[in-house]
Amino acid sequence: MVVAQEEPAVTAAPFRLDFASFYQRELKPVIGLAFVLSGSRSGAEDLAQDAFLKAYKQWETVGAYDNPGAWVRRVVSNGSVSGFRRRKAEAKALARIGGSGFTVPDMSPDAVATWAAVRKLPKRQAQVIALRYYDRSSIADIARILEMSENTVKTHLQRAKQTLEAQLDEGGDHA
Amino acid sequence: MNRLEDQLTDAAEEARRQVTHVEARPASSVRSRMYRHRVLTGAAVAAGVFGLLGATAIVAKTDLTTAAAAPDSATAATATTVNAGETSSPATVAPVEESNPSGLRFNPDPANDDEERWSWVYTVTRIRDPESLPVVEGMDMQGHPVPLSGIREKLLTVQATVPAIRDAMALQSGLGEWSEHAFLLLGDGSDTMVYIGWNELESTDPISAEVWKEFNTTGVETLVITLPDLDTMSSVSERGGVRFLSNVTGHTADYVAETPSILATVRFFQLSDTYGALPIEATPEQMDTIAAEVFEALALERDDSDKAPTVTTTTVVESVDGPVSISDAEFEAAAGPYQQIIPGTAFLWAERDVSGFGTLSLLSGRQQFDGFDRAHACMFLAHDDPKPNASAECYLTEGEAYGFGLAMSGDGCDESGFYRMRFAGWGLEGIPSVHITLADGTEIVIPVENDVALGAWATDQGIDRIELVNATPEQKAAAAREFVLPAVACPVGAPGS
Repeated sequence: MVVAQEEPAVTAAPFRLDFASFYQRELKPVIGLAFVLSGSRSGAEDLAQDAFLKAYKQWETVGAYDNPGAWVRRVVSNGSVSGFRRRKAEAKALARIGGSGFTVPDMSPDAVATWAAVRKLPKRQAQVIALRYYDRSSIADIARILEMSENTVKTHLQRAKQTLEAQLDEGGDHA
Repeated sequence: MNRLEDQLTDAAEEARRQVTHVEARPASSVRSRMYRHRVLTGAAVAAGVFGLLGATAIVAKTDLTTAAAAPDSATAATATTVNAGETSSPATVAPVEESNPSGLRFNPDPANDDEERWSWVYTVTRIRDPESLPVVEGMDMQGHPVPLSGIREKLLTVQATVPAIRDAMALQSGLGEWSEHAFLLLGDGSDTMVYIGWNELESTDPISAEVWKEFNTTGVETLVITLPDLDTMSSVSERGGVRFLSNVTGHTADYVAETPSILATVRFFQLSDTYGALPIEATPEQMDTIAAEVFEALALERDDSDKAPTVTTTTVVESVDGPVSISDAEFEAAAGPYQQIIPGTAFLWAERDVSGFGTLSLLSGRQQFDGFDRAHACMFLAHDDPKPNASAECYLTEGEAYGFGLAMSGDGCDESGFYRMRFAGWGLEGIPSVHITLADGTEIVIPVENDVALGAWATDQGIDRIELVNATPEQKAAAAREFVLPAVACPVGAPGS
């Protein structure tokens, strides 16, 4: 019988207060951003945690950015609109906890319909709308987060609004 | 438009209230989860195929030593993954166009030139012989190499038995979180491309299987290359529980073999800058034959067990020198410390080590997960372990901030006769160490630091008991109740036994 030498015990990384502060400050809005883009509470938690874990793992780089919050928003925005990934993660999670979900207050039907319509938009348009309205980001901030020009942001915003207006009008007419 | 503005503003406000509610929930609960570190290769195709699923941009590197030995080494190139910059810092994301002047580009909808649809661009690695496919190593975010070699096994098998593939040129291969794939160019001069995809449906997880099927038929929006739409395909035959379907048009031809746990795809199309733009030169008869032979080579079998089919796993821990044989010294060297913790917040993970083992990842947080009524998902993804039939268990005490995990690699002893085991425990407040007693009485002591204990060892002995030193009665009770100790022993005659 052979027992290999034990792995060294946990090596604690230098305690990064700045990351902890960043995390505490940004967690809620980032979860919210993921939530409106993914439509899933538990999926949003997963996406946000993923994003923060990624940020932490390369915090020396990300933390040096002028706006690490933009970086983590980009990560979560990109992840959130991948419906499959969200559903997959959620399915795994639900399967392991016996299918019970979280009890949260429902949004109004109008809000639900609005975000559902947003999620049906092309990826970039949905991201721009969520960042603009949920995150209250400026055009310039959105451009930085999504790494595109301000004009492109404006174009996406304009197209998204046109589509949403048509969709929501149609929904209202049916109603 | 004002009405829309109001609607969006109101919807945003309601959404913000949702998030506020999270913070208002009781602080006595905890949610923890364990993740296998997501691994995607530089072969961006897999992620593209499955809808940006991994969304983790990892710049892959090619083992140039191996590549240099390949016949077409002059054109061997580094595969580069670019995914809208999601997780790569700006410094690691190469400009798409500049990095790939001659790479394949796939666009399912040429009329829609939205930038997202062009996000997945990759440089072709031209390797004629699959055996000399480079050991493509993904790099995790800390720069650690992540060996990815599963498709290589399949390619070798297919190449050995399918004549048309024998002469094909493997242009790209890779491994995603739930998928493997390879792109090959037939060697008959026809510029016919063959995509072989291998997707886990996770027979143990019916929800996931349903998700997959739904995704196959509806998840088109973000795909670069979509999976076949099973509903539109003709059922060709069913043998041994494996359903075979096909859909052949002039420009694309899909063949699918579906088992409860696997969706294997053989897709034909013509090499072009735009996917599906040119008619396929190969004849339907040729494609029928090749697809059937590929499926036969892959030896699909119905799998009703709750184990991940061995064919879906990366079964060999590859290195330049061949399969890794774990000795004490090697294991020690391979399993270096790679855990990091933020006290109180407790981000923690254990990366895959260079031997291919070490898929435990743990993200445990007490602060950030306050607000949930019960302990949440705990994910040791055993079926993603690179060893076949790996087992891993995760235990989390409901409503409490501590838990334990235990993982065992593979389905038996490796070549050196060892099992490789890992233990992870967290929330071990007040416990100085965890003592694990093996079947032969050997005791392994894992110190606890920052309420977390992590240990790894290689052995041919099962675990007799796990003891938490100075544990509270509740902690002891939890450990006793929740651990199902694996009975492991190397088979008689195995090396080291």
